Amino acid sequence: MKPPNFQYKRPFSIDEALAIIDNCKDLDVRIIAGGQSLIPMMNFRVAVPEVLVDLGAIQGLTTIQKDSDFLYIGAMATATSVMQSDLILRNAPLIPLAYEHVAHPTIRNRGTLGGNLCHCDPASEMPMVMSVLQAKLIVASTRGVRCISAKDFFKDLYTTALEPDEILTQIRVPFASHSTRFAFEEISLRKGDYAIVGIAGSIETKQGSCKNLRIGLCGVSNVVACFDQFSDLTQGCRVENIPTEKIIERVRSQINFESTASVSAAYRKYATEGLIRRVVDRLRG
Amino acid sequence: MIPNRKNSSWIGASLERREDRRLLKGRGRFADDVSLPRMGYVALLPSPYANARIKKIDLKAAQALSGVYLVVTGAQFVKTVGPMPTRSNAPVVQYCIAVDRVRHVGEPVAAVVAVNRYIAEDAVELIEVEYEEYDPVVDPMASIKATGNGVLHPDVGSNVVHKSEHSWGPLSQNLKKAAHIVTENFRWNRVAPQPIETCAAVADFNPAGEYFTIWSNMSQQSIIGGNLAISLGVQETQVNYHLCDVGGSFGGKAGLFHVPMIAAGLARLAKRPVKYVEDRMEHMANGNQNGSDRIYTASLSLDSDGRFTAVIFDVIDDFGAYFMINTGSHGNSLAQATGPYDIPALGYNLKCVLTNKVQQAPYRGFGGEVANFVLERLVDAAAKKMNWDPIDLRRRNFITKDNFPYRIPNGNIYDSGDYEKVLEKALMAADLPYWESKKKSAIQKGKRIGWGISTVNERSVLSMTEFWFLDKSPRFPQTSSPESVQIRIASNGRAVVTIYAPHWGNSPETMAVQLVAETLGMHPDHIEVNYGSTENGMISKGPVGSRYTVMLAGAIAGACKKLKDRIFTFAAHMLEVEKNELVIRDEVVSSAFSSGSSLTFAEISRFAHNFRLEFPAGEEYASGLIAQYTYDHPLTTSPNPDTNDLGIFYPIVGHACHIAIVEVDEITLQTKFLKYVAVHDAGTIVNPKAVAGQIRGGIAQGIGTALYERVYYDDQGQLLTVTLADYAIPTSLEIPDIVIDHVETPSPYTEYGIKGCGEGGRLAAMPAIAAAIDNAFKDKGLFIRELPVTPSFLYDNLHIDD
Ligand SMILES: Cc1cc2nc3c(=O)[nH]c(=O)nc-3n(C[C@H](O)[C@H](O)[C@H](O)COP(=O)(O)OP(=O)(O)OC[C@H]3O[C@@H](n4cnc5c(N)ncnc54)[C@H](O)[C@@H]3O)c2cc1C
Repeated sequence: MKPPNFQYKRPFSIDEALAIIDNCKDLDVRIIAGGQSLIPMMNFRVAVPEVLVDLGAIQGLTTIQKDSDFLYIGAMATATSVMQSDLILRNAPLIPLAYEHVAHPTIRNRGTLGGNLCHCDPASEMPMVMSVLQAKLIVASTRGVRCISAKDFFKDLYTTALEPDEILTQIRVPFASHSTRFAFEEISLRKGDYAIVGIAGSIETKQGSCKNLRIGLCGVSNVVACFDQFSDLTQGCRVENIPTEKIIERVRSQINFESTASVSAAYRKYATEGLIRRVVDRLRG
Repeated sequence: MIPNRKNSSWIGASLERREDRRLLKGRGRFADDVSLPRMGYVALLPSPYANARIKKIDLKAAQALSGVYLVVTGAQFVKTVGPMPTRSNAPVVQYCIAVDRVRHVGEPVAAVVAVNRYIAEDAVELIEVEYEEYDPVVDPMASIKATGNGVLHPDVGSNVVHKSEHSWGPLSQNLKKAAHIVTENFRWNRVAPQPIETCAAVADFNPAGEYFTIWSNMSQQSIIGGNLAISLGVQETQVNYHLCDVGGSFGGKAGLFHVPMIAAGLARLAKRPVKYVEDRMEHMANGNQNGSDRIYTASLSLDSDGRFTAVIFDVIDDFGAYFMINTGSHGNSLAQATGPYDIPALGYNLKCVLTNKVQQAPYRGFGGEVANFVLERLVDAAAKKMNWDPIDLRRRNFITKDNFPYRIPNGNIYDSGDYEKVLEKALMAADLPYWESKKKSAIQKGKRIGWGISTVNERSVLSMTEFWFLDKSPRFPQTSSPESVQIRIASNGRAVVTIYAPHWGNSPETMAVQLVAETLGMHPDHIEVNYGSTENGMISKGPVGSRYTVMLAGAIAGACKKLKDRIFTFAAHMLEVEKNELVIRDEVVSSAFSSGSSLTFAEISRFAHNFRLEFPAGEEYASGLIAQYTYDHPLTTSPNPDTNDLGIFYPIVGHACHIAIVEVDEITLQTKFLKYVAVHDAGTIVNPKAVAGQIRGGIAQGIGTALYERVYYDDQGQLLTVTLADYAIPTSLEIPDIVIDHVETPSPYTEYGIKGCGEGGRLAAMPAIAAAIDNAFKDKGLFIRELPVTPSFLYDNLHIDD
């Protein structure tokens, strides 16, 4: 479990990083952030990069700020710093709620939000949370800067919309209004394991009636899943009356539950239904 | 004789662990800490197939890589290193690097020695192998009937490598007369200890003296010298084996041969010192570290009063690709096959089969935990079927305290015990009425509360006969399992104790300190402990089968007796009194009768070391104060060749009662502990903190076995659990606080009445946890027959029973 030889670069600015990538067009170049997913893959020789570009020395990539519309989270902010940020707790409480279920403190001290999103593991919490929150991802290359919405960013198992020469630099999370409710539930075999099933929910309420119910799922299928087609069920509904069973049915009908060595499809389905019920009950208040 | 505890000042004290002084400061010395000049690093090419013939291996590209010292195939390696030691009978031949055929995924096919492990792994990738794939044999039932290339070892003829049927006591009569018979099927899945430290060895070969020096975490002194040397083709006196600190063994490192053998064999070929440290994948796929893998049909018969009259176990055990431990783990299951209960008849029908998986090795319990699980589950099944209270049913069948020593039907004996007292203490601590009263309100919150109990025996102080007594004609019917110690009083009056068993994460140094302090009347701070290598070593079986403290106590008592005599000889002359009136108190020797002059150990030892002419001529005043002692197993007898009496083989028998109170979430079906009570009787306790540590650790592993862990192979024999993310060992976040209490029934056969306690937690936890989950789903009639009870497993089983 040792990686083969690779070149290691540690640029001090984004521009320098992008230039390195540009100069290595014919080589397999990889960004390294916290290394908590990439290093194991390299040790297993599943990932065999020829050049590693470490973003750890670039100033400004770890900051967490806000203006009147968005939270701006630097891609290199560690899970721990995001979890412990007051700004985030106040304006996007779903993030720290979900982070409670991500790995262990030692891993969160090194692992970054950006790395977590670029890794795009469908069992991972943050890609799904960012989809529910309708975050935007800012990516840069020598060709310019793009802004990609979460729902377009997470493509498939371990696959994002990033081009090989692009770096994720920032995550923009729209403010939650005070009338938005969030809930998060997860089952993992042990505390900190990847989810067998994890469910996030958010709903906006206005004078008792509600809109924009969104339910995200991780762990159950091969893609980052976020469902938001519920308006016919929630239209004009008071939040405490939203039809739980119909919501569950709608989500369930769109998922193909599969068995793995230690988790049967039947259990996954049962647990998913149960957790959606819990999440919706939380949202109802 | 059992001394009155009131006069013992060090036995029974929770002294801080000696071992912790260096471990907590990062100053332990593990095999991987050993580094020698010119040392090369090993990497192995693992087989990707479960069952295949090796057609061709091309090493050229690997050999050409810069930084590579040596590349060899199994066929080349075997020219200088013979097959691995095995207890199997007839021998199932195993090479540490495969020759011609691979029999499980991860089995090494070729080895590289290089300047570092990185380049060694690069070279491994360049080795080209052509295989002819055979259909893998994964299912043990299918393996029994396999033919052709499905037979793993054609020279053995069949995948069934042991088959025997045994009955002891009036079995058929009692079954015929029985008022009730409960019969259940159980599946005991593979788990593995997975210590933090994988297996590791550094080896050096000196061609001048044809002499191997090995540092490794493999542990059994008396086995290593002989067996390793035979495979390496030298005399055992040409191997010096150094003990290292060990980052956990839990039994697995007891039978670990391939790692030091690979290192030693390669060191000789590469003409340089060599280090081989398994990575986690190698440890999981080729560590030879998996526990029992059994299919049971078991029956318990009862008379109309609810008294157990017979128990029968029909067992098929999937040993994997090789059979190194022979039927040892079944000997172990037989040591306390009738549990703490008075059951006059016992049946045991055994089939050992081979499949394309990594082979078994001992794991904390060594089969005893499996038998305990099955018996306790049968008792619960009987209680359920007859609608009896499971606690009353146990109580009714306990061997009572005035019936010891108690002989079980197969010939083993239990030395002592007070099962009723242990049960009472556990019930007091658990307060079951309180938890019963909480059940209703929990249901309203979507939680189910359940409690379960196990009352099991804790056989300890392993002897050797269990490894072969089921064989028709044993190949090597070994009966010795001694332990040795050397104690020296230095010229300053301080003691230096040399032990010959490794530190596995247990507390051998602490035990040695306390036992010598007690026996010689010394202060613990005046006692140092070190370890002997085999070169200067005395015979030692080491810490397996919950034996080390008991055996060490015997050795220390013997050595201290000799030492005391020496001290008194010198002191009597110096004090001008008779030897037999001398007593020792706090390192001071004085006459019991005349008050007045006395001498300290330091004073006596100074004279004994330096002033020979102050003493009369004669052997008894020879300079120095040193004593050695080898203690044999306190009570083993020979088995009968026809197995109708297995003899006494595991007679020092502790007892435990565990009560688990769990809460299961109706939606997630996750199990959480509300309370966990463990009351143990390990005889006289040397160090309560150390015993509590053993119990807690054993329970943590028991919880792993019960709720989380399983080694998964798919139907192609591919190992699915190759990291600690897939193989789910519980962490401190999953393990509850455990309430521990003790009863002390001293053993009449051991020094100070000590019994072993190293495996007890894992001998008792699993049935209590299974029973607790059953109890939480009593209304659904749940009965757990297989572990681990993961949420998914629980869901699937609740549905089947619906
Ligand atoms: C024991 C353990 C348990 C874990 N449990 C969980 C869990 O429960 N839930 C969970 O979600 N995760 C879990 N993880 C994964 C953890 O969250 C990782 O830290 C995370 O997935 C990756 O973050 P990183 O900063 O370490 O990224 P890295 O490992 O450095 O990189 C991951 C990938 O993203 C790419 N990348 C990183 N940064 C950028 C960037 N700015 N631009 C473009 N590409 C980039 C890399 O090239 C690489 O392909 C666990 C990890 C471990 C070791």
